[in-house]
Amino acid sequence: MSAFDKFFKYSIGKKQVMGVLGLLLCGFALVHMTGNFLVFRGEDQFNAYGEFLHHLPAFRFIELSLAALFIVHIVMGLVLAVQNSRARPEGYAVKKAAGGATLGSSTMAYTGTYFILFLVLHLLNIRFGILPQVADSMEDYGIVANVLANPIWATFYVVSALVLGLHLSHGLQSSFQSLGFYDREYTPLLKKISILYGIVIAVGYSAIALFMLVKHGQGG
Amino acid sequence: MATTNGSINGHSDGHSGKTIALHLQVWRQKNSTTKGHFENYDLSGVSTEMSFLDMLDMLNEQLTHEGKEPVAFDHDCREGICGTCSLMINGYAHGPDEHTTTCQTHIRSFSDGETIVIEPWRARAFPPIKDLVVDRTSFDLLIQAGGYVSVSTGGVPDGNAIAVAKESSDKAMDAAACIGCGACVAACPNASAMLFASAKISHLALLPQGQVERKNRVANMVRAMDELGFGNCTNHGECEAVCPKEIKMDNIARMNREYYFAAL
Ligand code: FES
Repeated sequence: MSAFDKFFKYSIGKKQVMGVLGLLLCGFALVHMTGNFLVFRGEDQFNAYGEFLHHLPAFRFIELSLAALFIVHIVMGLVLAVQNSRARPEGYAVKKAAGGATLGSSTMAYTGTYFILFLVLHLLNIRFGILPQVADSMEDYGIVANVLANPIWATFYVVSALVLGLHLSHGLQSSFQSLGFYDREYTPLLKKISILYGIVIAVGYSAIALFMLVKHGQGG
Repeated sequence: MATTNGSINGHSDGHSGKTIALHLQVWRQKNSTTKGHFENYDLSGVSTEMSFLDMLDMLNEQLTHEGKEPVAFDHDCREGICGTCSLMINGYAHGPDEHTTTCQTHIRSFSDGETIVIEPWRARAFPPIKDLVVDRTSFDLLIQAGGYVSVSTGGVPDGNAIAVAKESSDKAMDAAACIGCGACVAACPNASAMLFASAKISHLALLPQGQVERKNRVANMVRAMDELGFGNCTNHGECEAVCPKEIKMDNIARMNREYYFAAL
């Protein structure tokens, strides 16, 4: 077995891959959100941004890399989660958090699994546009507006934003720890930044969904 | 039902101070192959000055008088230094007091009439033996996988002959304080042994004598952790919250670094 295979075979190697991919995905979550904030500026700006992205020379490559990031992160996360649940076949009758675990840290596997469902529906909705409410001729803004005008979809997006925020509130700082970064001074600060980052993500994405619902929903 | 006599000043057993009544829910399990269950016991006249293990001794005396089988639990030094005592007490590894072993936990931390749930450490790598006793051999195997120095380090060197930076020696000493009780595994939502393994890896990686086997040590110990059935750290920090010796998670971060440097 090569050193490379060995690295990934054991738990810490997988954790570290999770960490690197997690950080990249954290970056994506932020960029994707700020880009989508252009809906606040109006239809034309948002469509122009969409056009710009689609005509990037490496668009296909970026898109496929992103898909690979997600898939590896998800598969490795599931493998680790299964191993972890096997490590304690019989649970405690009473178990309390002693001060380490947070809501975010103890729900990582659940929020992560939920996110698979979100990704599938989100891609079907926006990327492939195969859900019935989307017409073929629509431009990017129209597609988004059409989906989010529906209160059920808007709610789904808000819930997903909260779930993602929770996941990342632990994920960001956890990535640093897995990659071996720990500092008595900076790690506590990093934990706070991580929670703040989770809140920003949750609020930011929710704002997009609610804005579109209010603007294009039946009451709007 | 137990009677409450909290106001009576110690006549029983020569203990002074307050006595209280406790309701105990204790995990009983005949052996590793039978299924366990909780038994309820009432204990009265428990001095608040007793240690938690004194209280279990008292329970066992009562059970023996009643012709019942006493509860098996692990203990040795009862001074917080050997790491033999264990117990999940009301959902906390080593009980509710911070950074305190079960043997150093006292009944004054509990209130009169309180229900105390007592369970063994639970992890695949710590299989049950009897009642509250589990088999922690996997920790020994983990140490055998690399937690040692086998190269000759010569006789006792002159003081200061081997220069070690103060910061390194402090950190190595902090890591070496681990008593191997297994509370980190017990408290970890993933039953991971990474705090334990990383304490040993850090302790030796920070000192000159540990350098020769440094890379093999981390690689072998990480492999052993997986093979012994411990889970993976997801950075909750429950381990450092319960550790009676205040071993910190910076050791796990150091192990993570050691791991990829060893792979390079
Ligand atoms: S019995 Fe030795 S540490 Fe508790």
